[in-house]
Amino acid sequence: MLVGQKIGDSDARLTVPVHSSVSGTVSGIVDIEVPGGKRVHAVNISNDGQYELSSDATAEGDPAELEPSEIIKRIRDAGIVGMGGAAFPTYFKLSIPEGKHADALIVNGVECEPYLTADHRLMLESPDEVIRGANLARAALQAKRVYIGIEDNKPDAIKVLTEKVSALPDVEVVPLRVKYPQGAEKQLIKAILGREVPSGGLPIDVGVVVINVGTAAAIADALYSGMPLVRRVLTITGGIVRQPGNILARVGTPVSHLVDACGGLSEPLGKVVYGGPMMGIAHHTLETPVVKGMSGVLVYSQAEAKATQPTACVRCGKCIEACPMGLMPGTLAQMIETGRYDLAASEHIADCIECGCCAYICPAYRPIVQAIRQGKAEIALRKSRSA
Amino acid sequence: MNIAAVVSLGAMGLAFGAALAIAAKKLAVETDPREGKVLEALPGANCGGCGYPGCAAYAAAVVSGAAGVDRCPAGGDAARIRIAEIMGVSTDSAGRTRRIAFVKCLGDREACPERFSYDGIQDCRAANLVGGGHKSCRYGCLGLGTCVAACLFDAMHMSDSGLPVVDREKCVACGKCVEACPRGLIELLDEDIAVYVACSSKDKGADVRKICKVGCIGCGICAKNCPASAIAVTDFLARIDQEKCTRCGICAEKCPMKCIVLDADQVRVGQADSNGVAVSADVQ
Repeated sequence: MLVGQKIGDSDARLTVPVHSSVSGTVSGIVDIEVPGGKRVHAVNISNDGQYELSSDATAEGDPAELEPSEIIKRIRDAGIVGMGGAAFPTYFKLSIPEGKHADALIVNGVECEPYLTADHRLMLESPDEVIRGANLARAALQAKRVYIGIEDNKPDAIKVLTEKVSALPDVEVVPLRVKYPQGAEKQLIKAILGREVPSGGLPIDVGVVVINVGTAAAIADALYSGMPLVRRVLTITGGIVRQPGNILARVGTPVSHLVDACGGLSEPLGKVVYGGPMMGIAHHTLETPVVKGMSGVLVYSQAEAKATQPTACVRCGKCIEACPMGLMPGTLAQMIETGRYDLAASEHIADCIECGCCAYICPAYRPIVQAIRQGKAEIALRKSRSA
Repeated sequence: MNIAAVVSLGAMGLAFGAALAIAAKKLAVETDPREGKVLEALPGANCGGCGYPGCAAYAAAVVSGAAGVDRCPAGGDAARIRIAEIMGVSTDSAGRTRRIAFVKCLGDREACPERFSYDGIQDCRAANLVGGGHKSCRYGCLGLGTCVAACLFDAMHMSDSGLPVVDREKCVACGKCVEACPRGLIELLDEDIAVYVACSSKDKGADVRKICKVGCIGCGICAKNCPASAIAVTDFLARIDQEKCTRCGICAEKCPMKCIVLDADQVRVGQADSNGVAVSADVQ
C-alpha cells in the first residue's frame, strides 16, 4: 500500500472511495469502533514509516478547464466528504438534481462551536487552497457567486482571505456576528443571503450549496495535486490536555496518538467528545481512528464529565427562545417522554438540527436535545417498520 | 315568582328536548350491536397486541370480517371462544398454547459489565444512541427497563442484577416489550418450549468471551449434540428450530457457556425423537 492508493469503494448511493493514508502492508481486515459507537470493517495497514506516494495521487491537466461533471467525478474519486462534521459525500451535494439550480456557493468558515479552531488555522495557513477549492466547487455547480462566511472573532482570517479575493470579482468574504449555531447550513444561508430554507427542504431549494472551508481545501488538494482525502486538520483540546492545539493528522491515526503528541492528559479521562462541545459525539475512549468528519477531539476530566441531575420543567420558555429553528424543544421532549411520537412528528421534530441550545440554556438541566434525538430515531424506526 | 319565566323556560326545554329526540333518531349512526358485545368480551387494555389500535378498533374489525376471532393475545382462549359465540363462527374449544415473552440475554451487570457509566436519559432507546451503548456487549441488554415500562400488564420486572424478568403468569404476549427493546432481545415464543438460546450476540466467540461470561460463542457443541438436528449456528449464534425440537434438553446440558436456558418441566425424558432414537435420560 502506498499513500493515496485506493483501498475500497462501493457502488451504493452516497458512498465515496477510501484511500490509504500511509504506505505499508495490509495486515488484515478488522472490526473497529468509530465515534458514535458503530462497529465497522476497517483495513489494517502496518505503517512502514516511508510515506511513499502512490502513482494514483497525481493530477492531470489544468483543473480550472475541466467540465463540471469531470470535477464532480474527480471529487468523488478523491473520497471527499463534508469536513465540518457530518461527512456527507461532497460529490452528491454538488450534483444538482434535475430542475434545480444553484446561483450561490457558500463556503463555511464560521466555526461557531466553542473550543474548535481547526478551520480558523486552515484559513490562515492555507487560504489559497480554500479559495481554489471554492472556485472549483463553484465551477462544478455553475453558480455565479461565492460567499465565504467567517465570524468576526477571527479578524485575522477575514483579513487574509479578503486580501486574497480582492482580485476575484465573484468571490466575497462576509464577516458575520458571532453567534451559535451559525455554522449550521440553514442559519448560515439566512445570515448571508437572507433566504430561508423551507421546513423539510434543502439549501438547494433556495438555490444555495454550502461547503466547509476544509472541504474546499480538500477539493483543491485533490484536483491540483491529485492527493485524495487522506488527512485533515483537527483540534485536540480540553482542560486536561497538556498542550492543546491543531494537528494535521492522517485519516486512520488512533486518536490516542494525537493526544499523546499534545503532551498527553494531566488527569484520568472522563469523557471524549468527537467534534465540538455542542454537537459533537460523546464517547468513552480515545481508541478510535481519526475519521474524515472529525473536526475536533475534546477531552473532559471525570469531574467535568459528571452530568447534573435534571429537575422538573419550570415552563420558563427559555428553550423556545433559544431554538434557532423556531420549535418548542421542551414540549417536544415531553411528547417523546410520554410516547406521543405522532404528535411530535406533526410538531416538526424533524426540523430540529440538534444544536443543543435548548439543553444548554435549560435551568432545570433537562436533557431536551437528547430526548429529541431519541424521538427522531424512534420515529424513523416506526416509519421503516410500517413501510 | 315570575310565572312567565317558568312558562317560557319550560316551553324552550320542551322544544329543545323534542328537537334532540328527533335528531337522535334521524342522525343515528348505524352500528352493529355485536360490536359492543365483542368489545365487552375483550380485556380493554388497548395493548395493541392484535395489531389494531386498541380494543374498539379490533372489535370493529372482527365485526366487519376483516379480522379473525383469535387475534387477542391478552384475552386468550376465553375471549376467543366468547367472540366466536357472539359472531356465530366456529372455533376450537380446546385451549391453545399460550405464547409469552422470552428475553434473549443473560448478561446482567455481573456477567457482562458496563464499559462506561451512562448517566443520560434512563431509557434504553436513548442509551443505545450514546457511544453504541454502555454495555460491553453491543448486542446485550442495556438494563434500563424500557421493556418493563412498556408492559401494560405488570408482567415484567427488573432483577437486582439488571435484567428484565418475565412473569409467566401475567404475560399475554402483546408484544409491547418486543417493540420497545432497541436491541431486539425479546421474542414471543410458545409457553411450553423446553429450551431457548438466551443470547443475541453475533460477535465471534473469542470476542464474546472477553466481555461476557454467559454469551453464545458459536462453538456449535449444541448443534453437534442435538439428536433432532434442530440447532444451527449462524453468525456465531446458535438458533433453535422449535418446530424440530424434541425437548430432550441435551443442548442446555452441553452448552459450555450455559446460555441455553432449560425449562425442566417441559423436558420429556426417555421419549423417542422423530427419528426413533431414544433420548438419553441423564438430563436434569
